[in-house]
Amino acid sequence: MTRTDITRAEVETLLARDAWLLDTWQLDEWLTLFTPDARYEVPSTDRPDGDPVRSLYLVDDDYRQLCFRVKRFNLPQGHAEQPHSRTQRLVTNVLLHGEQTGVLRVTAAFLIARTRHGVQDQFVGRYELALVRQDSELRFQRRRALLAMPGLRPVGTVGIII
Amino acid sequence: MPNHDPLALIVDAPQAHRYLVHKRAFVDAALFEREMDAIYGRLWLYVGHDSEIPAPGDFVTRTVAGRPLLFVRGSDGVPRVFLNSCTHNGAKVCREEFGNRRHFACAYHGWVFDHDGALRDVPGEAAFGPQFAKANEGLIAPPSQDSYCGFTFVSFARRDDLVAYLAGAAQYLDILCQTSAAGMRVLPGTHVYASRANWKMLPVNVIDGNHFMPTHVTYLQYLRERGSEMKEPIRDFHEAHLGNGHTVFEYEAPWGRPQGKPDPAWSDAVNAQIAARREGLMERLGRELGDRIARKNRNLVIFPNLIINDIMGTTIRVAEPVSAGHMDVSAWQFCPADDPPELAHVRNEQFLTFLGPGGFATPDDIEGMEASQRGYATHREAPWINYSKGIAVELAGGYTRPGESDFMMRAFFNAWRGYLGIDSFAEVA
Repeated sequence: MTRTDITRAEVETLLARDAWLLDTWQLDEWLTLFTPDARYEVPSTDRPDGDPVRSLYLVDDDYRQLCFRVKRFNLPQGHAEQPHSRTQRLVTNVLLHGEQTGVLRVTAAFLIARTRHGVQDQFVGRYELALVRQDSELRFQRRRALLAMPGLRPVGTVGIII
Repeated sequence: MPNHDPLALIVDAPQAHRYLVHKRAFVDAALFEREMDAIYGRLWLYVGHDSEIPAPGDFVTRTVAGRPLLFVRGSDGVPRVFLNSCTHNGAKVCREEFGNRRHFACAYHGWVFDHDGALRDVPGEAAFGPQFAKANEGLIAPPSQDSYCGFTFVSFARRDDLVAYLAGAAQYLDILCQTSAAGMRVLPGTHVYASRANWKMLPVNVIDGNHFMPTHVTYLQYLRERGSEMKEPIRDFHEAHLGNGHTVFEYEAPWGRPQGKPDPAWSDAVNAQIAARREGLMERLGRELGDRIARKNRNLVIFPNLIINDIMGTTIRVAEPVSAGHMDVSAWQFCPADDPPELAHVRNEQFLTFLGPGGFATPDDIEGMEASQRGYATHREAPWINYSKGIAVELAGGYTRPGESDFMMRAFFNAWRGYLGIDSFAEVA
């Protein structure tokens, strides 16, 4: 195991940039933050430690599905996000948990205020991230969002990316 | 156009080819209270599936028609439902969502019940006097409970007629439970979501074949892009009112089904497992039934609020009424107990992308329902929802294809009005 040159400042910049691209709906550029073998996962709220085969997840995207998720936001018939929500993301409590074979484990807390149809809801929870350096850029190899919420009540669904 | 009674729940005028439901039925608080009494206080309501609590002491807690329930397997292996309220001071006894316990201790004053519902320990018992007997103070069961194919129901009225109540829907539960020789089970994990819409919208959404194309264009695009083959038009379509407000429509899946129909988007190994599943079904159940289970999608609604979609995946879903304009939804995946991991992965992808609240379809259904709920605020000036599609063809004895009839919604709302026992908002409150 060798330490690479990934710094806390670089991780925090990635997370801030991630939030900024999502909040400003620059989703095609946002996708470039992921490696082609990346996964985006949201476990069910009553099985946060489950695995996606033996338990029910809310989201279990490979990169191909993640690309379609982004594409759907730009389709006029992607009704759940037409018109788009307004969001403001706060990402904090960033912790670096060490690095193994070039993969850096990071946790961070998120609070997403989402406004849609005149109602504001909050998504809250923590990220469990696996970050790697690829083509000299730090990227998400795994983005796991654990919701600290009573299910998706009252937010309804996870129509946005968290 | 005839003048409609502005206070009618439903305008049913087949000769005029009109069937209209009042928007106020989705927003009126007094009518909601009547529904809670006449429908949720009297009919059979789904609690859970026995496979969720396989071993003695296994439990899940549920909210059904607002009541906290404990669904627990007893020392004798029998699943039972109790009102989750201490017989002393009434506190909710079990405050966990699921687990395994032999004893349930009330946090407030320490009364302890066992997994058979019996009261085992009372701090300071002697002070209740010589007439107090723990044997009489166990957890109280709802007035009625029964189960069919492991689907456990309660009623808050006294009744002993679950099979008669299920009527024609029972045979669809039989079909569902025969999908795997190894048995079917609920996968651990719950999709816990909600909609700012009246509870009736979820069952109606499921039986409404008309919404699919406009609402789910992007899902079809997803299927095309992943390489699925889609057969159009939909074939072998059949829809039926099964009695007591339960409805089903069944049709050949236009794309793959992990339950028994391969899809070019899936690997050869997975498709071989799916083909073997179909062969096994036909061998075990006969060619006709086996092929039907393998190849056909079924959308089943058991009145009032149990939804079983045996489609891209198989979901058990419940719309729990919270208020006139709000429902909580709980959904589980019902699947063969013996799927190998690679098939389970495909099955989960199917389930999450279409049926999941984080997928490419269900959020659009919720959007449609919530847009309707907001639109129904116009009920005073523009009262009517139009479910008239297909009446003219049906009166002439014709056949309506998918998306050409509101027959199922008419069956749902006729049953709804029948259970309410009123025809007019003048009779509410």
